[in-house]
Amino acid sequence: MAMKALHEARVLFAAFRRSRPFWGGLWTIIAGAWIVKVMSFPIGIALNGGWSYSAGYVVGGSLMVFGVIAWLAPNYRMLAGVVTFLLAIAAFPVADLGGYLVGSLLGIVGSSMIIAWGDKPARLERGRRRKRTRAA
Amino acid sequence: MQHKRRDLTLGGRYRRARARLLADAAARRRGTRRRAVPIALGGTAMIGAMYGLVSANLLAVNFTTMDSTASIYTNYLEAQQAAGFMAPGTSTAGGQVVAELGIKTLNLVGLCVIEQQSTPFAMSMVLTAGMPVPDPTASGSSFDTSTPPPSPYGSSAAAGTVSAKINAAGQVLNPTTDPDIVHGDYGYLNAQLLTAYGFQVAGLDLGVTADQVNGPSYAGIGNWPTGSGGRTPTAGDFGIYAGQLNLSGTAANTYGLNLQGSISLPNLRIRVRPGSLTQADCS
Repeated sequence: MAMKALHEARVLFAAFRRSRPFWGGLWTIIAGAWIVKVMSFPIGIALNGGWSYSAGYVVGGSLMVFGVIAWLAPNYRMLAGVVTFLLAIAAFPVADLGGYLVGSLLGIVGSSMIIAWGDKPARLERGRRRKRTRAA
Repeated sequence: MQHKRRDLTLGGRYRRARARLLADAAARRRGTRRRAVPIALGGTAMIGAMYGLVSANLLAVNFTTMDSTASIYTNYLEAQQAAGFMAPGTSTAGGQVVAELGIKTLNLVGLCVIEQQSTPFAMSMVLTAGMPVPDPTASGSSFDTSTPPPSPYGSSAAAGTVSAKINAAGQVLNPTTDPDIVHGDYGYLNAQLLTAYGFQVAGLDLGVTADQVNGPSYAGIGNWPTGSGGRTPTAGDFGIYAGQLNLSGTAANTYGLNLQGSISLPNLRIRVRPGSLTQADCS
């Protein structure tokens, strides 16, 4: 029973992963979580203390939200990718140098993977294409 | 014609969602294409360009920390309109009593910030700007806070360089144009420990009631950011004010650093390293 459930979970996870920009979304969510972690202030101070204290929550939280959007609504991946790309760059001047560069760079990697996610040639077609190229 | 009745139970919904997911995954071959590489390189180049602008004093950044222990080191601090007050222990400062310090205009001869991050594995971020801030005790030189400037490091190599940045009156020369000087305004930190050699302290007023230290009669820095635990200067807390505060060999352990104004970070360098670091890692 447990083995069957494990197999089912693996099959579903593989299908989930293949049908949406999973890795790009994951890197983006990690980038957002890192920026929130670096600039984590008590929520009362973040709400009352101005932009200096709330920037991490706004930028990091937005990165996490758009990473989840890329997962749950892959049709909007281009919008989510472009927004996360801009957020990752904006994090550098506003959120402790983009979470000491780590958050910004992870966000750029994740967002570029989301933007570039899409249809790829089938493996068989690609093999045939190579043969054709060689023949020519 | 007979329609098949739709199964609206939880199991039926699950089976339909499962079938849709598997069909969608099997329909086409999709994944990250190679065009991700130029996009990522473009983004990295933009970050690199901004890093260069910050290093060249052309872009100011927001830098705020709290509730994570950070050590700040500088060869020399020149502060104009400095105010401070005692803040009772709060949960955000680990229950410690801290001294809140606010400075209207500050010039630093070199800056090194080491912040420990409490991630699942110990790691530290080292931010350096301006000239190096070497550990005065590492080379065996007997630096302590009783050593008077302008040779805060005794016989160490940095001594001549640091003293060349300061005039006889203790003021930093060319604060906005010298790439070795970090220049900023409206900087706030809450410190548990601050060690330095006080030099050319002028207009010192001890025992000001805390709710007035930031007012126009004193530092003139207006609204104090909600520091540790949201504590702002409150009547009854001990306050201190100095019109001019020059400190050499400054080292501070802080729970929070807040730069409300702009700050220039020339020769900016950021390193993330595993483990706990000390001032020896600043240079």
